[in-house]
Amino acid sequence: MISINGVRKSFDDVEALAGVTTTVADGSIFGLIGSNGSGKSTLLRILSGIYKPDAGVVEYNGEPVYENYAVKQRVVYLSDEQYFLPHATLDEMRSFYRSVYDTFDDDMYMKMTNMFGLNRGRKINTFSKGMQKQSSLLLGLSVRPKYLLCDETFDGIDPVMRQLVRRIIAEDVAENGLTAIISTHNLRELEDLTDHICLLHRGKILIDRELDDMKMTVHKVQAVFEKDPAETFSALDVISHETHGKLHILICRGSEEEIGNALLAASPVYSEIIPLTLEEIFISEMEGIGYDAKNIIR
Amino acid sequence: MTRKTSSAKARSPLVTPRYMFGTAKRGWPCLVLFLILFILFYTLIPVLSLPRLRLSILNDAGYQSTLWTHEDILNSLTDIASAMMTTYVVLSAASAIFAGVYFMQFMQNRTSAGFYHSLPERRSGHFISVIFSSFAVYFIASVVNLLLSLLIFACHGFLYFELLPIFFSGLGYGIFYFIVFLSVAMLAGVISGNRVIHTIMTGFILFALPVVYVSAMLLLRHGVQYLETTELMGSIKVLSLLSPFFRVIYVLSPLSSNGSVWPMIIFDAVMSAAFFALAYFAYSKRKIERSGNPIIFAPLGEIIKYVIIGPTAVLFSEFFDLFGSGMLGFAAGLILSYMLCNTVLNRSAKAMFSHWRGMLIYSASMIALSLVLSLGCFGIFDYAVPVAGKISIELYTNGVNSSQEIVISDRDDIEKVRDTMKDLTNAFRSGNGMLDHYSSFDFMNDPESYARYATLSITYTSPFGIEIPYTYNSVAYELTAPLIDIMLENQTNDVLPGSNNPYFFDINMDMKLAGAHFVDNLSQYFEENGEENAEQYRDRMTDARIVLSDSIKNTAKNEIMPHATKGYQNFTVGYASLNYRSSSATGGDYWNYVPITVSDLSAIGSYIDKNGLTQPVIDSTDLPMFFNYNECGFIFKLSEDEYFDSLAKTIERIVVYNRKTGEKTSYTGDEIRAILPSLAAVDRNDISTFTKTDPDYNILIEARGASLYTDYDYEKYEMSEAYPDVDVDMYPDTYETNEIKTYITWFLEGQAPDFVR
Repeated sequence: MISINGVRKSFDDVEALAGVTTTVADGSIFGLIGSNGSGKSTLLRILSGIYKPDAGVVEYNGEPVYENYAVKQRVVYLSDEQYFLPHATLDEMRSFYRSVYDTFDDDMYMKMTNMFGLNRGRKINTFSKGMQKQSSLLLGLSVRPKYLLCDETFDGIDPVMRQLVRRIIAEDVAENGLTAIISTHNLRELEDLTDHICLLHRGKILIDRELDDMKMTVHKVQAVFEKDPAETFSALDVISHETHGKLHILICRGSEEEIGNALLAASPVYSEIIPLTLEEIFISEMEGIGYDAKNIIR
Repeated sequence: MTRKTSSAKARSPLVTPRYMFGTAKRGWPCLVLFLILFILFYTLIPVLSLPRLRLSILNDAGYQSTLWTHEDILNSLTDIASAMMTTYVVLSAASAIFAGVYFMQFMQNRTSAGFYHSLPERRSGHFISVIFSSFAVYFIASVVNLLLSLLIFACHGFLYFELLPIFFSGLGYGIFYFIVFLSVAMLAGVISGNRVIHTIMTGFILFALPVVYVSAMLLLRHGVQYLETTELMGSIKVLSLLSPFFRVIYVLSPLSSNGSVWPMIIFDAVMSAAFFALAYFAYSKRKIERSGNPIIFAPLGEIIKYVIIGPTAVLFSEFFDLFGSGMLGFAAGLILSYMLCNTVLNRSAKAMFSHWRGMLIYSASMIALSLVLSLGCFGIFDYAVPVAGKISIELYTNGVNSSQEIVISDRDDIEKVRDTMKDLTNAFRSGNGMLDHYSSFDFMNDPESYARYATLSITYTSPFGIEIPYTYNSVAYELTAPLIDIMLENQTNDVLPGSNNPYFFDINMDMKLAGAHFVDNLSQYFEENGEENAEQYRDRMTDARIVLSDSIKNTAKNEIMPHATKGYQNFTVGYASLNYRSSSATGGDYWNYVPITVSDLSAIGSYIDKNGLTQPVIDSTDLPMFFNYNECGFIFKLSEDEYFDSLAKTIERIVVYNRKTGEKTSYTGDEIRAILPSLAAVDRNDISTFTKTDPDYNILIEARGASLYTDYDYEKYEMSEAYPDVDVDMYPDTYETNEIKTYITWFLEGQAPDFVR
């Protein structure tokens, strides 16, 4: 478990993190969302032991990460700006990683190299941006880390490969208990991947919840009524309401049961509770706490 | 958190060997570069030199039947090995800086710094890996080249055991200075945020203090009249205290042979340890997020900025001063360097005037300081008499005609000197004790003033060995009197008084062969003639005493001796025609020719070697200093009495002048002729060394009319007629010596002649 408690970090007179407190459960995928400059990368760099927080504590199962060899052996940080040794090939980078991490898995490396179809003997600086991202990811995953910190990792990867990467991470979580923190400014990246969502805005956490919890309290409803359903809607905690002819599309707060009962009471011609997209959940949550979500997430 | 971090650190290894060796392995491009550089500038030296040496040996053996001795060969090889050692140490220092920059580049870029610091390696691991890797590539390159060099020596058959200490001491020096300069480069690297600034910062650490020091001296030069700032600026001893760069130069230069280099080496060892410790401390505090910025620790950037702009302003001022616009140069240097520093530090030209209030305050301070120094306000430097563990005094009286240098290390005497100098500087400040203008031309017309003033060079050696020289021109003689007393008390080497030697053939001429210069010049001769080498010759001739052959003695006794009433002379034998003879004068140029005559005659005499055996002078080889003396003796036309008679007639007045009290005693008419022999009996050189009891007297000789009688004509003694068996090329000649000008001011310092007493 990663415990982040009251972490603050400033760069000169800019406060990047203003007292961040959260917990990342082992074996989970933790989505870190926020707009540019919200403090995601700073938090990940603190989590990876690159930066030392000005205040607060970051602990992996009770152990600090900063200057801690043992903890860092279990953590891999994949930066948004990949770095490779000058003029290195993939195999040379493998040697480097192997000399640094005790747990580097050659089989995994070979398997993923083949999976991504990357030329191991070619200099990485001749790869495309997406291939470099893949290289960084496959090297990181080949370490078999306990904690994987991904900063905008999916940017620049084509949809097919993105899907593959998501699958690999999900499998590693499921099979090996990997804990992944994935930061992005794009909610769609995290769709169907994360267990927990943390929204950072101007160095502060606005939302920090399990995705399932969020899904349990907000629902999307499609319904067709013969009569005016205004009375029914007043009984619901409606967040948004759209109409297309007689079709009403609502996003409401409340349990599925509560909403279903309220709808049944109005005798709809047709009603259905459908899954919310992550974006919709977010918008609803943001608005719930008084923020205009469009200004915060994409 | 602090407690936990500490315990985590305690459990984490300082460095993981795998990472450390991996870093060194990745430094192979650096190794290749070092190998190439070392081969070019180190190993290539024997490759080029040894075949030439071999050829010389073979040529000498083949064409001149001269066999090189083991010692000869060893000497040449030692020169080659020493040159290699010097080059190697210089290469080591340069390599250290390159290696430091190369292996620390991982932290000079935000992306790479982030990557490396996310790895499971503590900062201590990165730090140690840089040191280890730098040293490893350097050491491998060094050892490979050393082995290659030894192999080359061996292949030429020159691998003598005696050379090994030179090679291995060179390796030791090289390694030592590599570590010293690596510490500088690493400290620079930790405080710098990119590679270019890292390189510049290394130069800054190496040269900031010397540059500030030179700038301070340039500023002082405008205000401090007596301090020898130019000498201080170029003092390698002072500069070597300020930078390891100059310490290397000092240790490698022949200067170091005058004293132990160990204090310098210990100083560098301590400095190096301190720099490593400071670098590690700074690294542990280094914020990775600042990587990429020119200076990691922002306040340090401001300090560096002000350290740079001050000296730049002073240097600009000096340059512009050549065109009479020193202040304009000062302002230009200050503003331009300020703008440049700001632009670099902020990585934007838009920030060139940031913190302008600081610049204004700094400029005002610098200008105020310059004005204080230029206008001599407060006179603080004039009053300054440094604390010293040793004082060297050199006092010139009557221009440079007479001087005495003495070193005082007795504490009480040092304090006496300092008190005197304080009084002196006080006197100067109140306008006493120093002439406003100093011109030898004026003195020619005012011999009394000339006699009354002295030039004083005084060097205070601080307890740390720094020499601070002051020079005071035109100091009133009476003010220096306390110093003269101290100098007389501390005089240890009595110079023999000018003695009257009635038999000049008993003169002992001390053969002091003039060291390396002499040997160098002779080497070629010996190479050509294939006889004994210069060292052997010098050995044979050291302490040899020249005696004259009987025939010469007799001739000289009959014809020259009546005029040679005196003639003690120390000879230093040298190759150049003029070096061997220190000219001595007694009562005029007339007396100069006595020792010259003697020396000429001795050229064809014999000598006694150091074992006391008389050896004939075989040819000019034995006494090469006489090569240019084909001439022989001189025959003076007048006897001593005749000369004195003639001379006395041309002298208007002789004044014995006490320059301390100002008392004068004049001699005119017959008194002059009466005192002339006594006057001539006083050797000017000997008296001027303050070894006598009366340093305060000057004797002024005033000519009557146009000139003194100086036509002491002589003829060259035609040696070939007297000694037909001697093959010398001579032509009899008669000519006049130079004429002494209208007013001759002849100063006999020191001992008062008999007639004065």
